[in-house]
Amino acid sequence: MTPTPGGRDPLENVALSIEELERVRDICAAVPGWSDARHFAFFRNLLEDAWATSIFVAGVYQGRDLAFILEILATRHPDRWFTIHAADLFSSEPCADWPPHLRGKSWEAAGFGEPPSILKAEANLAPYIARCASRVRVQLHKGNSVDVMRQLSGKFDVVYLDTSHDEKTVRDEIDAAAGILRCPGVICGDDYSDSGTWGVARAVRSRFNAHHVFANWLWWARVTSPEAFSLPRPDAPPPSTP
Amino acid sequence: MKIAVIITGEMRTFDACLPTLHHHVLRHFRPGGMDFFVATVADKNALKVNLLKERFPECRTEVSTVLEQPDCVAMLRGRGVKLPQEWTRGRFYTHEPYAISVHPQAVARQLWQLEEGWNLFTQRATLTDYAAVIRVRPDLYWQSFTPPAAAIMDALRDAPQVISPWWGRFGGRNDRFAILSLAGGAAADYFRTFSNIPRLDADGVPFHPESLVAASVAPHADVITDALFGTLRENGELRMPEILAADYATLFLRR
Repeated sequence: MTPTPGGRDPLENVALSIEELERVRDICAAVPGWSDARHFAFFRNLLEDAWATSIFVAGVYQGRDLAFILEILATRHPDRWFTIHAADLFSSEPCADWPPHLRGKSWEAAGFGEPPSILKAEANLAPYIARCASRVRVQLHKGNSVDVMRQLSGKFDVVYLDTSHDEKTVRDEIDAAAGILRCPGVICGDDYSDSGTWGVARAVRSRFNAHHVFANWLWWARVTSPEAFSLPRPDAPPPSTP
Repeated sequence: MKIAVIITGEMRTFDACLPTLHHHVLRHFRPGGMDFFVATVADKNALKVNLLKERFPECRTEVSTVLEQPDCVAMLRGRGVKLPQEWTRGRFYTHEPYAISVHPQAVARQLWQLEEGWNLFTQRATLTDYAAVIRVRPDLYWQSFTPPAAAIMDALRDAPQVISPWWGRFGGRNDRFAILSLAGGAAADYFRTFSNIPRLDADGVPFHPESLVAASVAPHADVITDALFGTLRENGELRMPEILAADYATLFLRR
């Protein structure tokens, strides 16, 4: 997928059909989560051209984003072979971006609903996977997303980051993503905000000179060479002097 | 020939407003003789557009939605429109006849969304199938409407006319409801007000929605109609029609 000469980048398409909105409504009713029509449209744009055949998703919760992706593949790209790897702690432990006053509470008590569960995610995704026949392979990994990315041997066309939204976690994930993102590819993520304990926007700005924000909420950057990740690391030791 | 009903704007209270639109306005038109074209925002209310399909199953309903509207002020500045940097509620922004009540971005986006409705219509429909176009917002809570005389409706096919309410003109034209000729480009000029802003700005037209619409359709006949409606907000508040003494003067002088 390349930007249209003289036009808008296909990733910036903010139009949705009424049928797409109905699918979003149905998926949101079936699969718990926070994503909405913005995420559906963003994934649709990502998958619109045939260049993308694999995605790594950091952050599953109960599978809504993956359900969006599978639905789009089933309805718009039924003949495409596609690989999805996704990681989540699938744990009831508090996340690093929770405010201090919520840290000792459970997911429910903190107001975040049920904790992530690999069993529930698998059950939620089963009907969407079935619709894709055998052309789409989905593998869920239970573990820290950075650790999972470091252990993976393959490369991905797209890496999508949506776990804890504190600055350090996002920076660490971007750095780990550099090892698994195929070039050219797209690195992207959710919740582009520095509100409260979040630091997604700061983390992204610290790693990429050029990045975009879709629907004022999802960030993305095209990575055409590994040097795209080569901005100076604020936390890196200063270069030694001769 | 059919009537195209172009609905633009957020679908906020469309569920409550549609029955009033149907009873007061749309029932005057042949059920099979209308098609709907809706350009709206992909928010939590967008699927209320399906109420049209349920209520008018024999009519064609085309819909386009966008997740977010662009920065229309930046777009206009990029096209050479000289807009002031600051806007303060209650103060004059340019030299409009009445101070705009919302941010200039909202004014520009409303006109941009209006044009999205036209773009949807022209992309999906064959214009020669239609005798006229009705422009209406989805949050209008109708109180009364007297359809134009048959002679006026017939004339719409051949002569460029813009039929709009006699009130809410604020020095220009009521920009929330209109019946428009396709002939002579009247409907196109109404819906494409946003694209015309650079030209209108160069002509000295103030950045004021009713004034911009009026200037955009200035070449076409200005016909008034009996149409009374308020604006129903999501919190249930009904903003009643704002009728000024000048509107009564318009009504008196035109009759």
